[in-house]
Amino acid sequence: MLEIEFGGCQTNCEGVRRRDFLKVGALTGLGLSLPDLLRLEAGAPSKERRREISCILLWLNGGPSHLDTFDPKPDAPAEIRGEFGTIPTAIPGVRFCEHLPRLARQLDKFSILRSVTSPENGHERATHYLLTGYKFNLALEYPSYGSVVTRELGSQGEMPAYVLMGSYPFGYGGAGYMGGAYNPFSLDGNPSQANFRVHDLTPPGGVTLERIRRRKNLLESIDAFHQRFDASAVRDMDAFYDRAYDLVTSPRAKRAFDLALEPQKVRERYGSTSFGQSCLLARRLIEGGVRFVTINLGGWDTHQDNFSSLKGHRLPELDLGYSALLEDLAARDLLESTLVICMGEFGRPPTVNPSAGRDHWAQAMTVCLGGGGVKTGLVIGETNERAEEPKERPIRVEDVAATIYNALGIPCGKEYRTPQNRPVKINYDGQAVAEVL
Amino acid sequence: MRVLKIHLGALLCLPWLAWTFSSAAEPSPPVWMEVFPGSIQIHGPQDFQRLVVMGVSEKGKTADLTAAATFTLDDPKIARIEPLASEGGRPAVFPQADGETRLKVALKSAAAGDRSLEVPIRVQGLSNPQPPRFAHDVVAALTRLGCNSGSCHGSQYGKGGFKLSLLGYEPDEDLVAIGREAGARRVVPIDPPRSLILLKPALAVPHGGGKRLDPNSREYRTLASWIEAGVPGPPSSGNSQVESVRVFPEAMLLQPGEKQGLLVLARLSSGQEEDVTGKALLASLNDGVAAVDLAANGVAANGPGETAVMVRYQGQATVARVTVPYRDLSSEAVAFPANNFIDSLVAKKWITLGLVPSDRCTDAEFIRRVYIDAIGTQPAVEESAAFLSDPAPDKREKLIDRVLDRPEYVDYWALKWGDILRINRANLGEKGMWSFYNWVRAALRENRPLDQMVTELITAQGSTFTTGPANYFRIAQTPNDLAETTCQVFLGIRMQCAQCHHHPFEKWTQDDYFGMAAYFARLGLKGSSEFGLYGDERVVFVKKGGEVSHPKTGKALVPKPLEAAPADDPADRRRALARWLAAKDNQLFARNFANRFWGYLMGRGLVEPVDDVRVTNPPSNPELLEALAGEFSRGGFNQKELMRTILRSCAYQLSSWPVEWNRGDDTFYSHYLVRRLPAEVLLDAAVAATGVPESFSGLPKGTRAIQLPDADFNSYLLKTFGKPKREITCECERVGLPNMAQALHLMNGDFIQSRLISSSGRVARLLKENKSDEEIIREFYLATVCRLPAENEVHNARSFIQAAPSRKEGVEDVLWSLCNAKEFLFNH
Repeated sequence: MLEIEFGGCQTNCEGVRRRDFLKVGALTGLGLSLPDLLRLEAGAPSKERRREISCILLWLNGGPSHLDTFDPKPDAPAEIRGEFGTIPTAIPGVRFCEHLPRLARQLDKFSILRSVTSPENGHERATHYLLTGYKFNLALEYPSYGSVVTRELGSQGEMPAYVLMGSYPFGYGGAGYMGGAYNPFSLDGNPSQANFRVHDLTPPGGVTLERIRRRKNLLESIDAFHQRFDASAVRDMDAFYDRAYDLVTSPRAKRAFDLALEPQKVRERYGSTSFGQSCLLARRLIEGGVRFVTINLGGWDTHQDNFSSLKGHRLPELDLGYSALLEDLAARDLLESTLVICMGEFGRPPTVNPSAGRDHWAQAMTVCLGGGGVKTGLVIGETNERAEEPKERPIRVEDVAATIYNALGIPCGKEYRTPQNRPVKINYDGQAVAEVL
Repeated sequence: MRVLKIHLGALLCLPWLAWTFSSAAEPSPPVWMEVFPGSIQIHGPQDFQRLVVMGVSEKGKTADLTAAATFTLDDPKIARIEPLASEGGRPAVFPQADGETRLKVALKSAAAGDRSLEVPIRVQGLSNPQPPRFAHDVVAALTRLGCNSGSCHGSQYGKGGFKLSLLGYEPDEDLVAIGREAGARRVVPIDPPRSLILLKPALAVPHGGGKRLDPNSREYRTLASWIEAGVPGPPSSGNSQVESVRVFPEAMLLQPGEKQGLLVLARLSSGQEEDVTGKALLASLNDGVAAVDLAANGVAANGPGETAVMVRYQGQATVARVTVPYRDLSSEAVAFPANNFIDSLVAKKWITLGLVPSDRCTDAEFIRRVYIDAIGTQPAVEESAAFLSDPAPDKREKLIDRVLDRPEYVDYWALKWGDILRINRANLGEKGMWSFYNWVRAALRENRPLDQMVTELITAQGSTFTTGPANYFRIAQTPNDLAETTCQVFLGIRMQCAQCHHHPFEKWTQDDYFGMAAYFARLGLKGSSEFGLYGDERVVFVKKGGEVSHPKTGKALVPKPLEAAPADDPADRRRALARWLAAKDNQLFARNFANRFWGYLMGRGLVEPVDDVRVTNPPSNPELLEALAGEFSRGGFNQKELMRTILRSCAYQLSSWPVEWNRGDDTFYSHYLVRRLPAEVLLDAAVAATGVPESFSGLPKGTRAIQLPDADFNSYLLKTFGKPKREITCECERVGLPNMAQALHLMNGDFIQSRLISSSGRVARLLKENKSDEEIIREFYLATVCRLPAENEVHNARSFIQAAPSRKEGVEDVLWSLCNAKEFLFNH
């Protein structure tokens, strides 16, 4: 049997595309000949130059219970399905947890992968895996998606390419072996608070923009008198000073980072929580030219009081912020160019422990993807009746990573070198989830 | 195996005229001819032996003369010479019949007539041909084809249901996978071409890895005849293990564009030597200098510098060195003064590479540099001024001695040791952290010899509160973790890979890994009641029993140091480890610390990264590393003396400003390597320049950042500038790279600004003392970049102050600019 290559960037180990080998035998059944197929490939939409896709990653740190969010099992016994009821969604036959009503109505704006499965049950290892697409490796930390995007696409104007809101999840989310230059611009603090400000973006008290300009001129003249350096680190630092200066003095950046410019109604729509306002800030940053924003939302490691903590805080704020983000991006015609991902490092088990909590469960989890040109309203894969493992269509974490890179137009098969000169591909062994692309 | 060498006598004609360097006044003719191998053994009809002929000039320039040489066999019935078309026509000796003969290798020499060498040849095994061997031929072919690489079937989970061991390190497992699994469809002895192992890589049936195998290739024939022979496994007798692998030439000196064929020989435990050039993995560590041409089994020089070509075969590794000089080797040698042995060895390398060193740095550069590198501290305004005006010719030596005796020496190197040993309260609790840190400080204060320090550390037991070094066993706790930490810290060797599989770039096996881990198998950690149940005190003690077993065989391993015979101690295994580790003749130990301190002071280790010592990451100047290590161990492992030796060298005192013939060099110390100040040093320098201290919670006012006992202090500046959290045993945890957050924080953050306007700061004091603009500017320069400003610099700053909206603002801005100046942020 003859097989030929077709399609996008689903690279396997040798840079040869695998899943998209199409069997000609099957195609001839559809009346397609090989030349037809080649013509089809030449004109395939995936080969067209798309507009650049930005990305917002909503990271649910600690591992959200898939059973109590996007993969409820209303027909399972009470000790499995838990305390929550379910509600219909925008897609007939698909149900979400009852505490995600807004997201349920928005399912036409995203798709869910319900059969994602991983062997990593510990937070650190699992976080590294989900944030990089690579299994944890003691000798090497791999770069996160945002850092790869930074390296591949660079920054737009004075805006940083990659912004992280909240702390690094278990230390990951950075550039790993690629080095500090590709780390995110990290924002501390709670954007829902009145005194929130981005570190060092606003000049310290009493210093005007005019004075910053004067200082910069003086600094340049002082540096110029003593140009006795010829080292890349010095040139890099110079470039970072220029970028920092541009950022500080840029009206666009100032506006992008300034939540006060949003109408009160919009701010309320996102919710008055740190997460909600981070989502709003993320939208502003994407509009301003940032390519990749990660929002780290903690509190999902519900070993105790799973139901009360989810119902009381996590689910309402997720529902409000995430749905507002999708709605707002769509209204501004930004959703098509912005991939919005929502996931954590693993799911949680069907059993409820004596502390009314759910523990770790990596065999099954749900990943949500919307915008950025991915197909929406789809449910890919299914877990068994106990939600404990994929019943069909298992999707590995490598595949999730390949899907993300694919949607963002990043070449999965491109090879980087580690500091030890080891060749490492951007994505290893992933098969992008073709159904959503 | 021997290499045959002959003196060529005089200038030769072709082809070495082609070597004439771009601007050379005279060519560099080869005066030596070398032939590899020096004797040839051929075993069986499949075996053959490649040949390499190399010319070497007086200045060490090499050239591949194989194509220019003529080869004549005494007895063509025994062997024949045939060019290998796939390797650019390189000649090889093929067997004809069992027996012995001689090969004459000749070169034409214009002045000395023909010169020739004779290579003995022995052919055997033709009358009794053997099928391809599993490990040496079959697995080696799969390795060369890439089938068992980490990204294909050698990955942890294999690929497409077919898993091979990584790079073929476990041939027994591979035999099962190839010959016995998958309903044995992978091999079909009655009809070898129908075997999946041939069909798939030849892409006769779909193969996810694409086409890897040409049906006309030698690899295909090897696999097919092995299958036809009935898929024989490795022989039960173990005399076919590869004991070592050697590459020829071991060192080459080429010009960009030139090529050199390589020859790789494996020595088997049977004593047999075999040409494995076509089966070994070859990879250049720096393609910019020289790249491997895998089809031709050779290297091609690309650009100036030096690189190693990594050669791996059946778990053994070695390297060949390729040097590409920066400029014409016939240029006049550069005179360079030598303060000590370092300088002559550094200069030797420059001569080989055609590098020219930069000038000696200025006194102002020197005082700031040596203060920062040796004690992490900027010289005070008065110290700089006094040194600059001191006319004594030996003032640099005196300064080095003074600096090394200052109390900041203890602060700064305790910081470094704290990083290496991962001293932090998250693992140790606050009391344990202080106990460990104070032990390090005490050792540095009395300059305790390093062997003694390490012995105390490795054999420590008792309370983690009262015995500082016992905390070593609380940071890493399991035998595996302790073995890895110990190897990386004290030997600079990373063993992590060898926990799960043979180290892919090294000879280390799982036996080596668990042999080291066995030293820590009998270590216990228990609570103590002395400080109460919640006092968090732990006691390190030696248990009566406990073993470490091999993960594959389950066998308990005896404690065994790396590259040494097993060594145990009935009372405490760790005592045997410490005796080996800190022994005067343990080259691994002495080299590791010589290399580390050299790297800390020079900005780059001779082996870089300093904690990744391996055969396939060779030192940039092996002779210098040996000399430093020898000096260090002979001198009784005296850390301060080692530093003094390095700081006194002329090499350390070169300017950072490159000259024409060393601009591209960042490896051979031809100029000082510019580096950003480490986070703590930068913070302290900004504090000293502005005159306003920083406060750290729980520590007295005025505590400096280099005096912090661990990393648990909330400082945005330290975090942003890469102070390590002390979570991993790797020098790479301290990030020295610049980033935008650093620039933002210094130029636009509160840290500098609040210190400029502080009523207790330098600005306020100078204004209050009614100093003139010029006095203020001079003091600012001394306080930040440790030199006096030039006249135009004074003028520039003075005009700025005079044009500013207020004098105060102008003065503040001058100091702001100097605290953001490259000259301040970098050590140079």
